[in-house]
Amino acid sequence: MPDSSPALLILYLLGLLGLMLPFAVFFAADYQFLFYLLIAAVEASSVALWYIYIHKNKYFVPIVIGFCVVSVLFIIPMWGNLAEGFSIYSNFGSTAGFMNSGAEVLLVPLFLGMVVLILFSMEFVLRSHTILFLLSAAIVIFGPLINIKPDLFSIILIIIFQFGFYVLNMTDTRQGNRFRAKNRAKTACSSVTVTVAILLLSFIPAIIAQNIFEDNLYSSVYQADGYLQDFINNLTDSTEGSVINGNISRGNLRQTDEKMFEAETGEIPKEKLYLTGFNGGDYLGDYWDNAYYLSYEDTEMNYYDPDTNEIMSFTYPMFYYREPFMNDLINQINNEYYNELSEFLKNETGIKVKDFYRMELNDTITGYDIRGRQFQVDTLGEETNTIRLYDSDDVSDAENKADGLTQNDINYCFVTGDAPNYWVYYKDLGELKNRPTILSNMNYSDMLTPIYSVLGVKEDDNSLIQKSNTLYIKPTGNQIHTALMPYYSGLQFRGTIGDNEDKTTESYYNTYRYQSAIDMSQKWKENPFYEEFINQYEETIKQYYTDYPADELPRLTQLCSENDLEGVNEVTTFILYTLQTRTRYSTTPGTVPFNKNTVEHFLFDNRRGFCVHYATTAALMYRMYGIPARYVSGYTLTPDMFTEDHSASGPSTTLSYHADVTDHSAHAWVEIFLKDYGWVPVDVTPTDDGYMNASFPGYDEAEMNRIMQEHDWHFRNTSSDTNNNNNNNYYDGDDTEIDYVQLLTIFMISAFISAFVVLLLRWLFITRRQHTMRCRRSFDRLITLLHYSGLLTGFNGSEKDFAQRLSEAVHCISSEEAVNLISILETDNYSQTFASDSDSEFVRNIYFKAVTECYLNIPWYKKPIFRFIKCFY
Amino acid sequence: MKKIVALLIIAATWYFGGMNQHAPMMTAIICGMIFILLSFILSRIMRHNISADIPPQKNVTYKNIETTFFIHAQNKGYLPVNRFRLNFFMKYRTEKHKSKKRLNGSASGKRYNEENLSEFYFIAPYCGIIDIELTRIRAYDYLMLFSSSKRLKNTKSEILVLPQPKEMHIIMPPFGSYTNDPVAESSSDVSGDDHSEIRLVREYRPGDLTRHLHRNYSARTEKLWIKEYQKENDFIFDFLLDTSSDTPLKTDEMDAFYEIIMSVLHTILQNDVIIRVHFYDKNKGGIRTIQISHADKTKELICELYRTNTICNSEEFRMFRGNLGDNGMIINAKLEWYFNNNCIYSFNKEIIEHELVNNIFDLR
Repeated sequence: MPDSSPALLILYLLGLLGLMLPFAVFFAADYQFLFYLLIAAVEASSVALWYIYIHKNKYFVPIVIGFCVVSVLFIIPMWGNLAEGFSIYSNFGSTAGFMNSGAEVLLVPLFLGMVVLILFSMEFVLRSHTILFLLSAAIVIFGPLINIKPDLFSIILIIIFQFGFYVLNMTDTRQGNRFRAKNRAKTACSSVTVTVAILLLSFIPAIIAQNIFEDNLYSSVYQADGYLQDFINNLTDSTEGSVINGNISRGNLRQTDEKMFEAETGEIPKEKLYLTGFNGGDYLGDYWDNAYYLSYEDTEMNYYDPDTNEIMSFTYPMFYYREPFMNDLINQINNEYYNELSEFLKNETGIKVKDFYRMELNDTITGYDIRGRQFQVDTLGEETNTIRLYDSDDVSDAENKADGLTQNDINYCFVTGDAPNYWVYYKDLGELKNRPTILSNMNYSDMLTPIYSVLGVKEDDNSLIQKSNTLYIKPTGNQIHTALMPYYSGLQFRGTIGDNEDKTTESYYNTYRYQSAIDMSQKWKENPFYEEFINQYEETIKQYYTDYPADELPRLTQLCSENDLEGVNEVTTFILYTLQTRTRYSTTPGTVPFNKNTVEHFLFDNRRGFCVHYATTAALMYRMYGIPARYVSGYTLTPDMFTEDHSASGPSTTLSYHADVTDHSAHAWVEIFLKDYGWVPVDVTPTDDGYMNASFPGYDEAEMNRIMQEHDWHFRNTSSDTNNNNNNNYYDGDDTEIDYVQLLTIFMISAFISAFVVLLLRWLFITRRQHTMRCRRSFDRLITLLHYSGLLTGFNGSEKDFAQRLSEAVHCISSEEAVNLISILETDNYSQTFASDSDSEFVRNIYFKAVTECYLNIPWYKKPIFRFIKCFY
Repeated sequence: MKKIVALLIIAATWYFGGMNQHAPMMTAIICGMIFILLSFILSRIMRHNISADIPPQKNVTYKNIETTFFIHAQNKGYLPVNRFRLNFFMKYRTEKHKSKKRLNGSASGKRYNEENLSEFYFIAPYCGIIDIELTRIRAYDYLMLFSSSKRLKNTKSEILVLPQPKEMHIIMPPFGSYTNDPVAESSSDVSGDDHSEIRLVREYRPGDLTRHLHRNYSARTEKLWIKEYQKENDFIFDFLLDTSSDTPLKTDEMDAFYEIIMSVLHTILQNDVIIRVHFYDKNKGGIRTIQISHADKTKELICELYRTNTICNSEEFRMFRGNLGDNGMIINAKLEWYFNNNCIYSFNKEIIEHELVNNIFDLR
């Protein structure tokens, strides 16, 4: 196909348009119109370049060089600003940096102009399509990674361009050294036309199929990605990492059905159990920093055994809960209460208190170097949870006295002591007046704190494991290092698995006693010591767990600042409302572009995500409203997961309900701090059918509905989700939804514009060529003209009386001119010499005279076809 | 490679489209799949529509010059075939080895009603007959991802490759010394009425013999016209081509043989002689004789030699030739040139063109 062919130009313009449209994302909304003007200018300049290159070739090189020089002179001084704009875009996805001043507005067209020149030169001058090929393919394939997502229209244009030139090259290029075809250009042109036609026809079923099988298509990619990862893992002999961590996924959720641990219980839980594995502290964009470390350590403890009247010792595993600020906090509390407590203890027991202690890593419980104190709070409720305390003065009667102590007597207790004995003091109704008690035969699993500092229990103490609210967790596989713990629980039993005698951490299993959130409600205000601590703790955590990077989350910050809310219940409801109406649960939400914040992309752009995204977004929203919140990842155990199994391999055969927990049960949620409850879980991930069922003490569905009604908020209709997954009307502005009306409109407009341009170029080409056509061609056109005008329809020019008839039909042609015309044609056709240039010009003039007269005489409705389709005039 | 790149692009688009939940990319992938399916079907349709043959054309060429050979592609469908591949064989008739050739081309649709001629350029290195046979045509879809082929039947042709005559330096013997059958008399004074011997009629120039005036024509046109007569050959020259060989002759050996014949005949015929060329025809089972009086006729002789099986063993040839050519000129398959039983020159096939042009051959 020759360079002068308008078809080649059209193909190039389509490709250029398809390449430029996706870059609209670089321009702020206020500059979109400018951007489209820019595209039009680029297209027009390409046409002008083409014209200059084809028809005024000698000016082409000077123009190109001149433009490049001017552009470079402009761009070099402003390169810094431009680079800054790119930097802003690459870091935050914001395009505002490009349009800060008028200078940048000038830079963009100059820069684009240079690009156009380069592309035009490659395409037409050097005839090398490789650059545009690779560029367009790269934009389509890799563009979404940097948030450049070509829409369907752009992709159609790009594919037409790609396929068009591909077919063109396959046909137009000489194959081998010794071959050429005479009609290659025409064949190439028609091949491209057929290819484009087939392509456009293929798009219609493709759009329908994509719309119907959208989820299947995505899941096919997801599965392939999983197989690929498995293959790579097998190849490199590596394994999947733990799913319990602070990473905020930027891609799809991959579930392998790998068994993570086994859980056994004596009774099927009545509600969903949340097992915490990771708590997020600082939000660092792509991941949550660890809020604290929860770990075990074997600790030796002595106790007084009333049966033998001896001090006994045992080793127990201790959970260590470490938040970075806890040392300072405990010390502060210690200072306030040390004197009072010391005096009290001295008076009451005669024992000098060395210090309140809190277990630290590598601390020993004996000796005088113990610092801090361990907070231990008793649980209330069932009788079995009652702490049994004994009076040190009357050990022998301990059991009898213990029966007299009820839950109401023990609201608060703490442990202090001097080696070798440890003493538990309890406070009754806010007054430190009760006697010190020897800690003995105590069920440490029942001693909980709102911050989950938990005492362990003797390894061989399995006397309580058959209780209904006991959960035995036997880690397997990759979860072996992760400490999973139910809420409101204490470690009851810990043992080794199998024959592993070295008792390494990896071989331990855990048994917990857990409570429900309701059972944990306490009247802490009746305990001034503890209330002081909890107040201090709450003040402290507000500094840590309400922090968020506002500059990375501009849209989310704006959303929260636009909705002024009071109280945790209102905020929770707003979070649920926002997540439910703006997003849809999907394990395959796709990849987040490199330069996009995951949360913002989830909530405002893609609007699909899974529990990690929901929990992260909710945690950040809570923090934006000043409510301490943490991201948590772990596992959820639902009652239906447990099946009766008497052959359970747990520590006791009395546990008869077993569950194999796979990574499908991995989950993420948010936990907020409630003063009387501590950290409580809030699950903001919708169920499969789109419902939100978050609840915590003081907040339930009724409260949620009341607040929704109060604020006139409405959840989207979830039944439409269930019936039709593709009905995404609730996504206001969702760009993933295909608007067929818009698409059809764009297609029609594009087709119209394309047809107009093609016709215009064709008209230009043919009318221009008419001025140089030879006499035979002129005569052929004359015959066609006459027939279209309804004249001499039965004549083809070879008749003897044609000259006479011609002069009669067309009045502006005299009979002499008609005779001369025929004579010239006979000479040209039948003699050995061709008609001279003057003869050809004479025939052309006859033709143009006939054109003028016929145009005036034909009906009006024939005139557009006469001009633009037949191109006579 | 292109297919691999295309597949990689499709796979990458599918993967990144899926991972980024980009609906237009997935639409493009489905569209691509549909297009590929249609391409597969199209390749079958195109194979059905496309065919090729060899059109009538000038099938004589010279050795070592660029030659064009036309192949006609027929597309009976409306869809253009942007790429087909034609497989054909080219081989010298004397050789058993077939040289496989490929030719890519395109054919416009039926609507254009145009002749899709593809030109194949080649340079023939040897003299002889080149047989050409179209064997198979393969039609590709528009993206060249799929192809389908079919056999072609009755598509054979041949090209005669002639040696280019060289101007040799031959010193001719006195007339009569190299013939045993001289022409009786010179025809330089032949009468002007024998129209059959008139070569051309031209206007009178001073110095022309008036007896050669074309009287009738001059009277009609009122101009003087002169009849120019063809010169008569003075002697008949016997030339025996000894193609006997106990071993099969290779193409390059036959090429050298034809080179010598062409150049010798071309040069000697410039001396107004008639040459009677004698050669063995195996089909006839004897010696054939062709008389040549003009240089142009040497082409016909060479063509005749190409088509005739002239190869025989030495005994057979000796039996048939008898005493023929003992006193004339003989060129044998060993490239030895004898005149009156004297070896004039023994050619080397490797440098034969150099020898023909640069040596002086004295026949006296």
